[in-house]
Amino acid sequence: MPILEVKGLKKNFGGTEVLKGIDFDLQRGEVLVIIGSSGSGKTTLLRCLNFLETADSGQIVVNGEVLFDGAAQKRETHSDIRKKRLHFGLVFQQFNLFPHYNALTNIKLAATLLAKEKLRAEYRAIDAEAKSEERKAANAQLKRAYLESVAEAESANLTKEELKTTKSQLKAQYKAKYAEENSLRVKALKAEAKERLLGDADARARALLERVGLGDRATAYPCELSGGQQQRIAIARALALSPDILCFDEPTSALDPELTGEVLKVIKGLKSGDSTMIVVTHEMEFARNVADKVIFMSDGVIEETGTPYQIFENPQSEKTKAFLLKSLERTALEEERR
Amino acid sequence: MFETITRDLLTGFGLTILLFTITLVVAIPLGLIVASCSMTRFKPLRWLTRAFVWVIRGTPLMLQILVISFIPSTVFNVMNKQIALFFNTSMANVNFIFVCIAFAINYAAYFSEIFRGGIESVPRGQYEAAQVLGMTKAQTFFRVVLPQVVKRVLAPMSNEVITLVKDTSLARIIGVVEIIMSAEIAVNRYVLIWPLFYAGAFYLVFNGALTVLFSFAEKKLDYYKV
Repeated sequence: MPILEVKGLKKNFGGTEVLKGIDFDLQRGEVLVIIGSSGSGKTTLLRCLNFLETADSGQIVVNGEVLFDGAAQKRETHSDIRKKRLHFGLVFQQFNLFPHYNALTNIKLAATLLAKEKLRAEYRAIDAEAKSEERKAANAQLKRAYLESVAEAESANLTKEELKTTKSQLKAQYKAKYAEENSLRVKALKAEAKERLLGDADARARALLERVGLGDRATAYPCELSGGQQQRIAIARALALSPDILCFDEPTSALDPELTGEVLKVIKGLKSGDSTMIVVTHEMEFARNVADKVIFMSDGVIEETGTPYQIFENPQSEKTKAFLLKSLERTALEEERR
Repeated sequence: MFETITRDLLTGFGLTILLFTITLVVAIPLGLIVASCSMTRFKPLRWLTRAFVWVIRGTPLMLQILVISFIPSTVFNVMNKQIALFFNTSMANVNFIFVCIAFAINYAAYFSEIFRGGIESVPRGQYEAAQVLGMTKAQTFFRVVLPQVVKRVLAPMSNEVITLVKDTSLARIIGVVEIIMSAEIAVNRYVLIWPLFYAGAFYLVFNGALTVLFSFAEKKLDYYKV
């Protein structure tokens, strides 16, 4: 089963048809590169996948689950959309790091907030269980055993003093047992849940920083980092939520040419893992190297799709040929200028 | 005599500070609410809020204090004395409450415009980044937007806050004996000019302290750029 299926996706902006019916699918671990001239709808497609725009019609299916259906009548709530978004990650052209948080916090913020949400839900479940009927029954049993032992002590031939000490001992035992089976148990369960959900947040964020080659810049603020470094932090931030599909919207277009290499290298590095990725880019060399599948978009439709070899060496459509020729010329010009 | 006048001025200054504090504590959250209403997508509320802000900013605070203080007696036919009796307090306290209400409303309107500017200056990319990271609207506002707004509004807020310190002198219009009125009483009683300068010194020192406080806060938030 493909991890992502997009069927007949359409999007209008005030009468202009930006997406005129997009169909494609993607297998787990595949890297899809989308190329095409500006205004062909590449970015809009990514934004529709991430629910930053709502498509007008068509379907988005992830892992067999229909996330978006243009034919559905029901208006979705924010929290519905929020959950669906988490299947996708998005790396923006302009990075959009949070300027008031350092690199590490940028990476772990959203993941921590989600973990805390899960934690609150688990706490509620634990509390509910502690108040459940079965718990009550177990406690009643405990109490009965205690009262029985007290009655036993009373019926035995004991002096007043002895009876008093035995009773207080029994009571202390009962209290300890009660605590062990209730408040202590609840506390232990909660502590375990907290450790499991939040305990390694920092370590995970640091591992991601290492992965994008910025292990030593954990405490740096975005304004202290170069564009390339900022974009690498943004990639780590998107990875922190382990999305099913990671999207890149022209990740190197806002960067100086000498900084694009480091970012492309990081993206290439992700390929060796089994991340599924969709990359919108103008870097043809990169597309050729990293893609499993290439889509050429033009005027809101998929003009041609195929393996990198098919698209770059043996394009069928005239439009694809023209586009590739133009981008070749541009690259040559840029190199000459350098 | 210096001691008596100092004591009188300090009493008046106490009221000034109290009014100043109450206004800030009420007007900042109220301003945030007004700001969010003036940005809402629900148009009637938006236009109503903007009209309200226009009226409040477009008329003198002195007029607003008078209107508020005359509303009970003229509209509801309840004398201020009755209010004082009802709450078992003095007329001076009732007047002080009126002044606080007028100031809170007036400053909430000014603050709301500052906040609106601050909130609208946060780029859309910040919201989108928070959205794709699965943050809720509340999380986006409190974790991403608000901290950046604080930095952006600090400079205009320091201006408004200093103006507020000086505006408190308007409270005397309905007989709240704040520091300038205290000074004037002293001037009349002892036929002296210096109590006025003395009162001015209080303002200068207090505003000086506020200026230092704000520049400290700005320096504190200097660790990042927006």
